[in-house]
Amino acid sequence: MEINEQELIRRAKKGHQDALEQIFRYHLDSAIRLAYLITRNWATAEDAVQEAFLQAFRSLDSFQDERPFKPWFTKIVVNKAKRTKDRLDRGHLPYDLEEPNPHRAFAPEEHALEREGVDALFQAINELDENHRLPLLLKYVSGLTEAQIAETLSIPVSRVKSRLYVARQRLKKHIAALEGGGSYEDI
Amino acid sequence: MKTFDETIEQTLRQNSEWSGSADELWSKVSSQMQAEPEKRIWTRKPFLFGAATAATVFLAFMLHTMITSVPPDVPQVEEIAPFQTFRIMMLEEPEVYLPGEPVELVLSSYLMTETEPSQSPRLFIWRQGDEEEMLAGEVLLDEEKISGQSSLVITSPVDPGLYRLVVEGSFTAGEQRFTVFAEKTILVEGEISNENDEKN
Repeated sequence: MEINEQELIRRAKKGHQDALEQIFRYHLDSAIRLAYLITRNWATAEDAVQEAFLQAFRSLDSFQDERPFKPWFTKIVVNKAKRTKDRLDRGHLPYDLEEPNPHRAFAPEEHALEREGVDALFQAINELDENHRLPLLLKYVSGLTEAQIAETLSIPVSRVKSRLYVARQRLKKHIAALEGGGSYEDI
Repeated sequence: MKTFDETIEQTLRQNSEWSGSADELWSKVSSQMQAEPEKRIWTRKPFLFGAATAATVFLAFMLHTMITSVPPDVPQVEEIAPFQTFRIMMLEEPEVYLPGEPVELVLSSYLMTETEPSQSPRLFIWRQGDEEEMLAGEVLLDEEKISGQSSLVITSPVDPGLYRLVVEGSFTAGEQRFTVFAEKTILVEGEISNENDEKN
């Protein structure tokens, strides 16, 4: 979907509902995925994303038109999702990520081994500590650049690079251990 | 065959499929925006009370500090034990370098005590293995290059990995003997640097 983001934001700032709705629909998918992978609970992910959109739209006046919207908005989503997750952790509410995802669909022809590989890799990602998991999610789910990840997490780019490197190394090691070999070593 | 990057992306995508309704969520967001228009922050009473309280406390604190403050004790460089320096450095995350890239080590020098043994300055290159650190190299440093310098530039190792670079030893300046110390943890990237390319 091709949209002129700057034009949309200018119109949204003037209060055009259709512009706000377009921004919402354009960024909803990656926002809800990211929030879910942080909170590990669909209901709270929806709450976090809803709050994030509200905050973003209410703060649009302070947003500079020439800057990309996604990193700015993603930072809000991350903060809302982390805060919600903290509330979950304190309240001992159940996580639902570890249960099989009912919405995940594999193509019929997909091989069982590939499915197992995906499950194993996902498990390994979930076992990463937050410092290494979050940059990974921002890169692969939100599609942010390393510089944008650095801005979102308020850390230097070199630290983002090292965290991504360490995260990938750990994932490769985990998968290699499960498979009894090193299938990704040559990539 | 998929790359590892593509595999990670696909895995995360397959495990985060949302079955909710975008229409419903939008109706919640839009109705809340219309029902509860955000007031300017400075027009809210709690904000005004809070700001006034904070300003009063701040002014009182500043006044108290100006009246009662004494210059804090600044520890001399000589007082900082190498072990403390080591612990502080290890808390930091590694800086990332390419193989063969210049790495600057910040040198800390202090007067030697009588009990400290004198030894030629050396660069120790420790490599982080799976379980423990291994000494990957040891280089004798020229005292003249260390003496009076605040930093030392070396070349990063060629093999990718996590390294701890340590400079230890002593040198003579004038008629006095100084101990020198430096430490930095670095990550040397190798062929995996291509994976780090930013997305467009």
